[in-house]
Amino acid sequence: MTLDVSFLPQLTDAEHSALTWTTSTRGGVALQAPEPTPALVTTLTERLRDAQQTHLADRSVLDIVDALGRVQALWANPDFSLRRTAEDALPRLTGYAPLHVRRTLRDYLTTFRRDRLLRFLAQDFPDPGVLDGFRPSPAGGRRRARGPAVLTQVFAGNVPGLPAWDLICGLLVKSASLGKPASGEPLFASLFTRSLAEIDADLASCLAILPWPGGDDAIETAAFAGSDAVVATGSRAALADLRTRVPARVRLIEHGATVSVAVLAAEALRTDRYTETARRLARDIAHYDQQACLSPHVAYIETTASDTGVPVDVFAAAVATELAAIERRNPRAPLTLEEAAAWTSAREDAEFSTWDDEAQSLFTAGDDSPWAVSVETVNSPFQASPLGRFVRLIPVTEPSAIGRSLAGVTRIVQSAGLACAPARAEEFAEVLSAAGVDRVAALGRMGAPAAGWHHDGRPGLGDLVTWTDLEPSVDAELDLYDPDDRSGA
Amino acid sequence: MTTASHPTSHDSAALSALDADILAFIQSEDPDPATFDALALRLFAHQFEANPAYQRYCRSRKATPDRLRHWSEIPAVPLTAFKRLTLTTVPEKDAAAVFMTSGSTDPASRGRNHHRHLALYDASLLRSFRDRFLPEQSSPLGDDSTSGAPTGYVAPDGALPQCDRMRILVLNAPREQAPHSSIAHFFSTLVEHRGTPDSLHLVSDDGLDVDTALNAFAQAEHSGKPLAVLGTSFSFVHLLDAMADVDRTFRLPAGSRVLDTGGFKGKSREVTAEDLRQAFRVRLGVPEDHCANYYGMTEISTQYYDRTPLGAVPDERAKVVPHWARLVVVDPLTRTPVPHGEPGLLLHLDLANASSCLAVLSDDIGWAAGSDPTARAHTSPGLGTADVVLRGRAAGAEARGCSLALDEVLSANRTPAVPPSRP
Repeated sequence: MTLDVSFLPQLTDAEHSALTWTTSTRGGVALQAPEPTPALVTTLTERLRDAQQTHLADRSVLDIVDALGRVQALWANPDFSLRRTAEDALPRLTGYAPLHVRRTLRDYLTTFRRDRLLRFLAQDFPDPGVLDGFRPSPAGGRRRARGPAVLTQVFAGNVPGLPAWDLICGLLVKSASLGKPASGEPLFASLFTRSLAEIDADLASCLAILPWPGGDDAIETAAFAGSDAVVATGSRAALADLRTRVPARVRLIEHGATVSVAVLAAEALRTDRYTETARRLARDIAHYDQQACLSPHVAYIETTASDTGVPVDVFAAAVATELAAIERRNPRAPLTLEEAAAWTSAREDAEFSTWDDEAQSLFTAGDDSPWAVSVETVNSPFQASPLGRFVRLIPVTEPSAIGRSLAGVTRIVQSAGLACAPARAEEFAEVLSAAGVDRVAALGRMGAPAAGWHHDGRPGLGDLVTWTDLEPSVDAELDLYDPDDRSGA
Repeated sequence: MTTASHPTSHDSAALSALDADILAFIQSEDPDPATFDALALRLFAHQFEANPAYQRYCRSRKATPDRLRHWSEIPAVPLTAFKRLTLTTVPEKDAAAVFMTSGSTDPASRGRNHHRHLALYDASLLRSFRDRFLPEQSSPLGDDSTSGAPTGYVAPDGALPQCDRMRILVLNAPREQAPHSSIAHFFSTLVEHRGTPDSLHLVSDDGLDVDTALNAFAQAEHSGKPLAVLGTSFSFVHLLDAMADVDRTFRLPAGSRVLDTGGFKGKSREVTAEDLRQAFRVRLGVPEDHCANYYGMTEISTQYYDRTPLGAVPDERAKVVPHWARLVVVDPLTRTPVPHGEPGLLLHLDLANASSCLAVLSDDIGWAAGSDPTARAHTSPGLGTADVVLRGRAAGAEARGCSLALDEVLSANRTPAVPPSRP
């Protein structure tokens, strides 16, 4: 069966059948998509603008939430045909282990349950009614928020399913979206839009999915010209390139690559706790092989003179054991040649570091080990992991050392997974927040951000909208022009 | 430590028996592949004993001379080892030369390759130059139809008849100005051994001397005596740009030839090998079959020249592996050979790299081209002898999505460093 990775309900049947289709195979999955052209993209953005006016602009936000909630209910059913398609095709397309994809997809799909969407909305809009019309403002007067009419969205390909959230965010602020799936995971955006079409064809007509080669100047010029804003996820190099090409009148909202860390307090290495800590850390490391920005590159380990915990090397061995166990259940996805070369090079660098430094050690399963645990010292500048289940464990004697270690990556550090006594959580969170960390989760839960998370430290929905304030003076001063008002007469 | 200022005479009596055997093999006109196999294991045993850092690396991989049966089992050290370790069989003070990778001023981040003497290094470079570039002045480069020894060839240390020398212009500084540069040593050695007395180095502290280059081209046009122009790929781009600026073109005499090396990674602009060869034809009048590129690096002692022309795919050239080296295309994780024709990292085995490690894993990506030599035999004596197409470096790999490639964090952390040039 050939899977269509595009979704173009804006086209008539005649237009649809007039498209030139190309098929490709990735991981044994046959995919098809229309040949993208600037003219097609222009047509799509024009029709998305019309659809937004007709089906989205005047629809209440709670109505949209209801529809999305019904879509989630479809996906919550393990027998839903599109979910089965996703569970079958995504592991083959991405190389991630089927079991891992099935579990993370299941957890991920619950994040757009109706109640969670409401919480998500409330995080940025305590009164979601501002998306429907003017509502009283705490500062006096009234105010209203509007999303861009048409968004171009450039999706990430590192984590299966991610584009669904981007599309939902657009719909919640009543934006129509033209989405470009990534070549690494080209499928889920089209599956999600098809499920929406089953529930609500009008809403679905506000979404178009079309793959094109990233950076194609003619196509992207057409897409940007027809959009009010561009939301892009990608490498820093790709974003820098995009920045030069998005016209000044179009807003660019960037989600660049980031790094995450873990912080393990001395109490997490207690002899009766450390194996569970190692299990949780390994789970976060194995989450999409660290390809998602949510997994730790580095774990800081608090060591104190009086601690009753196991030595760092014992803990490292426990993490290695867990990673080896995970490998048996969920083998690491194959690395590209370049990734494999970078991975091997980083591992051997770590190996050579252990040669002249007693404080450093390296745990692997030999030259072709699919994981590596490297115990390093805090003295060197922050070093990222080459990803692919490679973690650096760095002992620190005091929490402030974590802040110093993160000094070089303040602008790109994102999540921190924390394992410490509840009473100390805020102490660590303060240090991490000052170092630029925008999300602190419990260790073991790094891969599943809570609803309402400030992605990259920013309001996810709030960043999309612009506000119109109806100032208090309007209510106070305009009585003068009220034909019914007799006070001046 | 002395630098390689007197490379022209090697007293072969001073060589160890192993080095002498390797030298004889490099210079052999009828090399037996079985000799390579035996010499590789002998050299490995020597390096294992005399190179403590390498021994440690091998022991941790359970590779000891008594266990190895074939050279394909010799552990290859990664390039990073040349930076992080002192990877040598010879104390630095006794080394005739220590070649360093270019780039950072921080010595700790520069790869260093020690050479007890340069006898093998020079024999390797002169032999490949003869076989692949200057076989005799009238024939195309490395034309395989002229197999065997070209007429007039005399061993490198012997006196060369004048007809086997030609005027060489080098777009690079001479050895004296760059004592730790393998590439400067390479070009200077060629000038000494294969150049006429009027050969020139055109790069000094003042940069590239374009005027002298143009004068030399004009002289050659006038005299009809062919020229060999040697330099890094990027220095040629500078020269060609300067020629375009003043709108000068030449028709260098028949037999003239061009040799460039390295690529453009990280440079301000990139030019494909095809574009460069076309520019050599248009600006210098040197036909494509007289233009070659070679691939080499500081960490090894052998160069790999273009097979010219390649034949089936005229625009894509493969590198030829000389008989004293093997280039195996491997999976970076398992270090085992990938199927013939599939891309992988290039793993070098180089008998001329006697003072450090003969087996080196590069970060260059390539694939074997042409027919599969292993397909002709039940065992794999041909492993690593096929031509190899070189395609860029693996460094700077981009992660699949929103997470961060190692290089991106490093570049976010540091001020931009000058990228290392090759070799």
